[in-house]
Amino acid sequence: MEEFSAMVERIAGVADKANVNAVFGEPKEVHGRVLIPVAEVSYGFGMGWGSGSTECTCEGDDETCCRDKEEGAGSGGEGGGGGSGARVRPLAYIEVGPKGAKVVPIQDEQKIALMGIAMGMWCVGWIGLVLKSLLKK
Amino acid sequence: MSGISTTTRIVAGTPIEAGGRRFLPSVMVTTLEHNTAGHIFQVRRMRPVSVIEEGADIKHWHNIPDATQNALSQMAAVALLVAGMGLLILLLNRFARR
Repeated sequence: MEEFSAMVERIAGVADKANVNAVFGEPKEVHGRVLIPVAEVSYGFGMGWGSGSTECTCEGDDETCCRDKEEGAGSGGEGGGGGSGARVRPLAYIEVGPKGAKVVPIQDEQKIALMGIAMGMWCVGWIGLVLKSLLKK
Repeated sequence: MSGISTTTRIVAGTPIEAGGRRFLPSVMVTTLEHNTAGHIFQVRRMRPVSVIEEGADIKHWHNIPDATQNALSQMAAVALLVAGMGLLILLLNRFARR
């Protein structure tokens, strides 16, 4: 179970790093302006473990079980597994100038373009369906 | 799916000093978790909500918009509207033909 404890500690470490302060980054000075990156942070982890025992009476034909029992091995087992992941999505940056600060949003152009293509196809499909229905005699 | 709990709360982040100003961030934390003997999982989403800018004589509230999500929501609304209009026209056409 030592490996499993180490895995739990590692996953807890990921969770600690992805705390609230990870959302607002460290201020950076770029060309005389101070920028503060802002992002949406998500993380998740899951794990499971279990143990079991092999019950045998050595009266049947299960030779392997009997041999293991005599040798004191193979009477049970335990195991576990888990995984974790994190995602950081830039949302905006705060630009701090001499006249004040302003929030500049960041758009995911690729996602919007894909959604635009899907929406275009959806609209063309609906218009086609309506025209087909209207022109049908 | 019992035993799964969801919590949402607004958390204040550590104040940030930049450009002679102080920024007080706030974050919305949504947590989905399940914890029973034998298995555990947790999903947490932290979305920035706003930041308060404090200067020598000013205090501004800056909302942090999710521009991508807003654009996608608008597109989804248009798609729903097109589908609704199309369905309405189809139904009206069907009644008119009777």
